Amino acid sequence: MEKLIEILEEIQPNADYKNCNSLIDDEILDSFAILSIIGEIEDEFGVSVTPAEIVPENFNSAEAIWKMIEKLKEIS
Amino acid sequence: MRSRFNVLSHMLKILLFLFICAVLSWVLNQVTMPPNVVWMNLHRVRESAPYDYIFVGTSHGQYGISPEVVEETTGKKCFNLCMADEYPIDTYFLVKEACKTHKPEKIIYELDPSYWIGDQRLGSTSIFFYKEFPWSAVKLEYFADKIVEQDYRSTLFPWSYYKNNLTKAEDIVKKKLSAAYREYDPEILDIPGGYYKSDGFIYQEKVEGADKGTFNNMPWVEGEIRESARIYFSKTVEYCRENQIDFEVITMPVPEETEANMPENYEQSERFFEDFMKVRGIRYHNFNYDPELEFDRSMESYWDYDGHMFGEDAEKFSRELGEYLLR
Amino acid sequence: MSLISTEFLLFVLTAVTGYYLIPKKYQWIWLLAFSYIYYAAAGVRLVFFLVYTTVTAYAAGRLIERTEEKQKKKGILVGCLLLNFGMLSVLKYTNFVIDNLNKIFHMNLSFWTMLLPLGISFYIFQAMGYILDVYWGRCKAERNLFRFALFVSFFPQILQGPIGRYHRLSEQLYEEHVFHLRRIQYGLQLMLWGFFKKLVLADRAAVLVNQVSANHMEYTGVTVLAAVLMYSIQLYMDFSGGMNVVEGVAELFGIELDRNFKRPYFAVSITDFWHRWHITLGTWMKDYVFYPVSLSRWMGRFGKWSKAVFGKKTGRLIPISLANVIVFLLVGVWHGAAWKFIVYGLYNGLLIAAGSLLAPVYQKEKKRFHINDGSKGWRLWQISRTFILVNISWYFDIAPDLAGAFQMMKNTMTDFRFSAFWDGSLMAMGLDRLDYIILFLGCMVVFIVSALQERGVKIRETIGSKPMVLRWLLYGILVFGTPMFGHVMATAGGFIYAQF
Repeated sequence: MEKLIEILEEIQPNADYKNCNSLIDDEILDSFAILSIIGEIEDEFGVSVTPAEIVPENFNSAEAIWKMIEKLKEIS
Repeated sequence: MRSRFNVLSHMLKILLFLFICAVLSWVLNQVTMPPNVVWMNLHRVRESAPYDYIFVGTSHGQYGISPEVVEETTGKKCFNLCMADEYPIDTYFLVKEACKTHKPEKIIYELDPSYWIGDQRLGSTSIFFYKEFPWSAVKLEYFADKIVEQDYRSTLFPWSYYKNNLTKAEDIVKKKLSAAYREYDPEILDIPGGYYKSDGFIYQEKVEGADKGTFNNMPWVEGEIRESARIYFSKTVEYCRENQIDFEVITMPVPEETEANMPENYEQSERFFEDFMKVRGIRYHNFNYDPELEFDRSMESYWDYDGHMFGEDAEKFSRELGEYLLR
Repeated sequence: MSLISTEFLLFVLTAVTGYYLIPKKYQWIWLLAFSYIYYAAAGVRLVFFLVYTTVTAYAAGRLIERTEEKQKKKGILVGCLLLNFGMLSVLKYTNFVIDNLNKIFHMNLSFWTMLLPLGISFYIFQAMGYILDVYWGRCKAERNLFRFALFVSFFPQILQGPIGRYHRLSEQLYEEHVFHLRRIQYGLQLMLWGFFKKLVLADRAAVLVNQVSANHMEYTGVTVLAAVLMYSIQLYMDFSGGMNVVEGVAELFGIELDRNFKRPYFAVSITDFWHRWHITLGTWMKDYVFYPVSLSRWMGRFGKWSKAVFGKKTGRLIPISLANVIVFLLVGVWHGAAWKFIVYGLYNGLLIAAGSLLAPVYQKEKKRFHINDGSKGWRLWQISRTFILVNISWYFDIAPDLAGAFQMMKNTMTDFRFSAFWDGSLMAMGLDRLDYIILFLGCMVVFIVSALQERGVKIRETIGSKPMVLRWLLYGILVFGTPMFGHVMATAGGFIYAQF
């Protein structure tokens, strides 16, 4: 989780990733940012994200992203 | 109970609002739409029926055919329902409207090829005829066939096409309240340079040295024929057949200069319509290619290059037209 | 049936009246029947294409859901996409290909005379979005063919969008709707607002645009510039006005469609512009093209390579930018089969890519000059810059072809005299003083409404809370203002986006 927040901070600074749970709905993360995050996640955690995973529910908060990573880890 | 009352009162308010809108729109119609030739013609053709011959067509016929003179030559009572901006679809409904009270012996369609290859301008001209029709099944059919496809202003706010007349509102209201209006006196019509002489014919006075404009005729292109022109011409023919009304087609003579401006186009359209009418068994005569025509086709006889005739020349031509009709 | 025609209003009136009178469980069938009548009114033969897309997408959806094997699922998906996009390409682009073959190889192939089914670009996208959603497991496949047919054909939106999403739209279409007077009022208000935008502003601005685009070689300087600016009014009022009518009609049935516009000319960047302009096309492209392409295996490999070459930060952005350029190429091609649209797409894609690649440089410069991101002046600069960039892209729309677009750009620069504003040149373009005044005031009205919305004011709710006299006066102005100040086109001018 710490590592994830680090990634997020690096790609899109100036956001409260600990508390915010409307990263997509409030347009804090745009599509470029989402893809950058996915790229980093894939490298860092060795998972593979598919288009099916890109729904607001999976990206609205750091916690949601983390949950998605855990789920993807289980599959692989 | 209370909520039902609320809904009801709400509905009533909406109805009241719509009613006020309707009244306002009606008033605007009244003060912006002046009495016009269509209004006059439709009244006359209804009130002075029966007629033996009815002419339908365009402004060329409106300025070029004197029913009075044709009547003198042929002995047939004539009415000229040719009007500016009358496209084949309008002709069809005008024929039906004119035949409502009495079926004439013959309908003569004055054909201007450019009305077959162009679109009617939107706005006042597109509702020009429709709005003067009295309520009847014919009007309803006219509405369903034409007006319904236009934008909603044609139906709900026809005054919107006459809004420039708002400055003349006082004048229009005065006219509509006058005795002349009630009696359908042609005096009331505003016709620049001419007057409503008889049964649909407009007599244009000769003014020496007046500007006659330039050529602005549309060149004939067969591929440009509008589907609606074919359909409604056929419907008109069909209607006459069903009602045992003779139907024939003529084309008015245009100035020689105008024809010389694009002779090939004129020839092409002539060939096209000759075949077109022959196939359908319709008598057709184009006065531009009539070797026996004595009428002077120099610009002396016309007040513009489009080919609108002066009144006195129109009367000369009408005599020849009458003789042709007797043949 | 044009959205502004009397027949459309009568059609809607009949549909809405019946909708609330019949038993509620039949409401969706009623909508389906009217949707097909509406589509058939444009040409009975066109219904074939609609049924084709409906049946193939429905069958593919069911099959994908029943299939376990991944490879097979993919096969069905690809098959369905090919069947539909294949048909769309053949119908839309055959003549474009023939034209280019003729020009390049000096061949003499003759053009196809085909009718392009109305709204085909919209409903195929809507149906294909659904299939991808089913494939990705985002939604369940629809079991009832007729319900699915309604989703594809819902009449208000079929001709010019918005492109709906299954999970948001379908439930609304199938559920039972109770009559709500307020909803009807809101719907009617939206329709009136759309009529105002279309008839008063779009049609009037179109006069100057048509004049210049029909004689694009003749005009220079200020006149061309004026035409481009007028086009930014025309296109926005035409498209968003049409959308307001569509949204309004849907609202009469109690159905809320996805928004297609969010005050696009307030955008602070081209990216932001595409988040506000034709939104449903943008999000469609993002979800169904941009993400899949970016996450594809070959893009992954390209990403690794670019990271190795350009370093982590830039290297990460390069494949994303490439995918983005591909998306905008498609957006361009979607608009029409012509090189000018391809360049239009490319232009937008490259601007966005450049924007994100240069973002770090930009940040540094801003710090150096102590520019505060939140300041009003800075925001105004961003908005103006974006507006200018967007207007440059309109050249491709107005001009008859690509060469024409560049010629018009050149012409704008030559013979640029400000005196054209007052020496009468602009008065000779078919619009008179009064027209310009109406255009200006009308745009101000739209601007004020937009600015209020941008601040979060809900216009219809605010009006609703005012005293009755004021409300009636406002509605009266809307009802009578449009015919009073509306422009009458010489010949019928349809909605621009109803051609796609």
